[in-house]
Amino acid sequence: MENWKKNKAQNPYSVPANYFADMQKNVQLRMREDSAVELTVDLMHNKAYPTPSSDYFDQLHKKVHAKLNTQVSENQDLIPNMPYEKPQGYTPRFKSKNNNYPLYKNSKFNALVMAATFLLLVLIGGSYIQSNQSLKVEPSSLDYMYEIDEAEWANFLENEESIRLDGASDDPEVNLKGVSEQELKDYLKEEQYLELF
Amino acid sequence: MTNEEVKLVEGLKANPNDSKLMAQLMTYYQEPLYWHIRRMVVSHDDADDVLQNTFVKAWKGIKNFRMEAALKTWLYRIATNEALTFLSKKKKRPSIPLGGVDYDLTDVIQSQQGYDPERAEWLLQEAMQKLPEKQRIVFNLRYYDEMPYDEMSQILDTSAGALKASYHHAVKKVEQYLKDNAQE
Repeated sequence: MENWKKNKAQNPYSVPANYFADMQKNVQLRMREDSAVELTVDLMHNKAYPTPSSDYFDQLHKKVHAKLNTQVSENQDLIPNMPYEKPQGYTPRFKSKNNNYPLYKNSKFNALVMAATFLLLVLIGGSYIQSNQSLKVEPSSLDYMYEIDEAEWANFLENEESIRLDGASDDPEVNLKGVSEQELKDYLKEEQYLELF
Repeated sequence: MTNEEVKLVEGLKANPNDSKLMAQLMTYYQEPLYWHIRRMVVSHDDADDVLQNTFVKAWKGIKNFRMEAALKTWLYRIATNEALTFLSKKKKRPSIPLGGVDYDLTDVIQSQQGYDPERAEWLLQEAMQKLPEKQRIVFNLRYYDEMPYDEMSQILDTSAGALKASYHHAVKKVEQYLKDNAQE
């Protein structure tokens, strides 16, 4: 076991008898199948046929044009001269200048009408959204401040400050100035008592 | 490339459907390529599939073979890529779908005819399957085929120095596996 590097280990796998001959046959078969597929693909793409020269196509175009021109000249008399006929009982609302052709059948006119309608809808929609948004805006608290008289506001601020400085607030947590130790204990007891409920 | 190889390649380029030339090419390289593939995929049926694909691809690609590398190196490169593609497909689609077991080549080795866990050659095959992919290929080519590092470098697109390091690591791991698993 230790000498596996010096004494090369043999290949332990076995191969069926005549395997390589069979394998060669299979490969040749696959090559033939692939060639047949390629030939079919070539035929499908017309690669197997020789491509005609460019002269051939020029001649073909000329022949086709000549044939078409002959047919048009032969059939020209057969095409009737049919003016536009108005449907019975219908009076078109819009009329073109020559008064024969209804304006609503004019594609330029239709496009103009559609563009104007679209513009109108956009304008209506835009103004609606704008007005709706302005309604939704809530008044700011600052708006109310402007209504307070300046003297009143100064008085309010003065009172606020005095509350904080002299401890005259009703809320004991705001300022404890001037509260005795006993009063504080009584207050805390009362708080605890209230918390039980 | 030898003169014989050049003639063979030029002949196949000129007439790809020449079955005699193709048979000649297969006869030259079928055995070394088969064993290279077999040691990678283990099962004979799988090796047969991969070898056939290798020759069909070589036949299709021979018109683009520029003869810059040796024919043998080019064929080994196709065979290695085919075997790796085959293994990655097999791992994605396990052959035992209901068992929920991953495709493990060690199991395939143990199911081979004549498997004997006490024999070094079988243990060596098992040890090889424990190696990372690249190290396994390098070990396979160097230990069994005794391929020079320069030639190997052309097949695997890796520098000779890196291949030497890979082989060194592979040998150490194989040694350790044999020590751990050899029965006294």
